[in-house]
Amino acid sequence: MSKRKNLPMRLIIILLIALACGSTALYVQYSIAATQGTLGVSSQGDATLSMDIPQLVRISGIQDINFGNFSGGADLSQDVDVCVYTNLDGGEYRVRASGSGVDNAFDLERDGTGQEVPYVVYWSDTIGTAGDQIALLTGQASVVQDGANTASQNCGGGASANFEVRMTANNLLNVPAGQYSGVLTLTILPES
Amino acid sequence: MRLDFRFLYLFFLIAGLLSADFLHAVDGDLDHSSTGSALISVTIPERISLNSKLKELSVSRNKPEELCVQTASSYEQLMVLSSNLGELNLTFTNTSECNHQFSLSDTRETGQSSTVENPHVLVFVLRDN
Repeated sequence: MSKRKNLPMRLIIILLIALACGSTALYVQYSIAATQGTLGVSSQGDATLSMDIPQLVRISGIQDINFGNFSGGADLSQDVDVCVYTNLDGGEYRVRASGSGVDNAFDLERDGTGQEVPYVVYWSDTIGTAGDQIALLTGQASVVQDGANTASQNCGGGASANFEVRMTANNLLNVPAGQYSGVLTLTILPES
Repeated sequence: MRLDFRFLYLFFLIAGLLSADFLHAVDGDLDHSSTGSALISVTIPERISLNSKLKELSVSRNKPEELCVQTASSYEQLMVLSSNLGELNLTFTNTSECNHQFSLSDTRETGQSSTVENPHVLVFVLRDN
């Protein structure tokens, strides 16, 4: 009978001892790495310094694109060199774009009319348009890109990637005259 | 001299509106993901195609190297939409011979050989003011 009474008490004591040991171990590991000096002619102590650097990316150097007056002739295209920075080894990342049209479509809209002109967006992980370009789909992350700057968040004033906007003359001739505009949003995602 | 802050307020209000309209590009922040944006814009001017206004445009050739294009008075701007005169540099001049009309001329230097193909094709676009 007395053994049955003592059984829960023993379990509690064992749990308390285990909890105390675990807490002590964690405390030693994470909190009291610092050692104190002893009383002597000289005294030395030390402290462990630590920090976490999370995955960081940045896109900068973005510029608006104003195609000006459509002449009625050829297709339109303009591109912008941008800086993509990441602190991940290899400089890999993904890019996701979205437009300001219905369902984030890549459309330029004439104010208050609902008239829209579609455009397409191409991305290159090098500056200029001579490199391999990929067509971006709205809202979808691209395949892995590389070549991001890993040393400077503004690429030292330079650039590391490029986006290009294209519109076809047929689409531009298919809508009424007016001022068409839209916002292209580009998001850089770290590739871990 | 007292500074009228109403004008200062008006200045910043106008400046803000202008910057909102014309300076949209936004860089991303340094973060786990980074989002920036750019304003894309294009102006599509009013045009009338040659096909729909064919009767309002006539072309005569006063000189071998010059075309005189006559348009209705309500149209003041004329441009070439396309042509097969690949090496011909076309300029528009409003000459006295074509009063209120437009003239196209070959601006190549004298003596330069002509390699344009036959027949010459010019597609004009009229812009209504």
